[in-house]
Amino acid sequence: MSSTYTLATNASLKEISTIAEFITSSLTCSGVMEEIIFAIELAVDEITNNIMMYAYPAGEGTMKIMIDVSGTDISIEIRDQGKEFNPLLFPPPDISSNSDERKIGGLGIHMVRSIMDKVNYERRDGQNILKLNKSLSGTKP
Amino acid sequence: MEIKTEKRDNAQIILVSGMLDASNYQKFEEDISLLIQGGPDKIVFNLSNLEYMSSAGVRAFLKTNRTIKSKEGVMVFCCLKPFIKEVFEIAGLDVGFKIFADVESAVQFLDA
Repeated sequence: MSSTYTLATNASLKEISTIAEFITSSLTCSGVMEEIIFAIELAVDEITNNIMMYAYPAGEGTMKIMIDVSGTDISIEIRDQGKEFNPLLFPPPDISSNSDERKIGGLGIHMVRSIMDKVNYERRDGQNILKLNKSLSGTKP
Repeated sequence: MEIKTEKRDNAQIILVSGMLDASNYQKFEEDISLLIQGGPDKIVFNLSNLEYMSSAGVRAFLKTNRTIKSKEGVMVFCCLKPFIKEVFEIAGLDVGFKIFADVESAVQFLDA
């Protein structure tokens, strides 16, 4: 059995809370544990912020978020029609260096990779398509 | 997001509540910068009421740390909720900063 939830929204900072509510309500309906909901909220927040900054640098565009929850995992697909942008090409940030000197670029996508089990990027039909996957039986928090 | 501050001994305790994300981190940086001007340069960030934080929040704390360091001050954290603790660990903040379980231990450390 699986459930699918979809949200189409503007890629705008004003929508951050709409997106968070969409994720919380969808996953709560599917009986997902609170700590996993927080983690998914964070991952989607980081991805959508990258979209606002890099896919739509000149202004607002739209994006679509689809969440699919099955008994064993959560799949999320985030699409936008902005400039080609693959966040997975960010070099990994140096998070071990002294906290006041370290560079902070690429931190968001590093956090997404840490939280999720799989992250894939694809450019198709003029769209950036990012697919995230989180197993509900895994050992990651 | 809401910020309240309290002075205890030689330390300033800053209580951060709510959500810290890309929509409000700049406001957060500005508010904190005003609060620490002229105040004690030993800062405890009490995150007991911080519900959510993204990489924008991590960035804001790193920037605040640079400001405090430039005044030869020091900042520490206390009272992280489990999700915030996880964000700290993923972002590596748990390596660069002292994190305490409660306000008292944080203040004691700064007073020592």
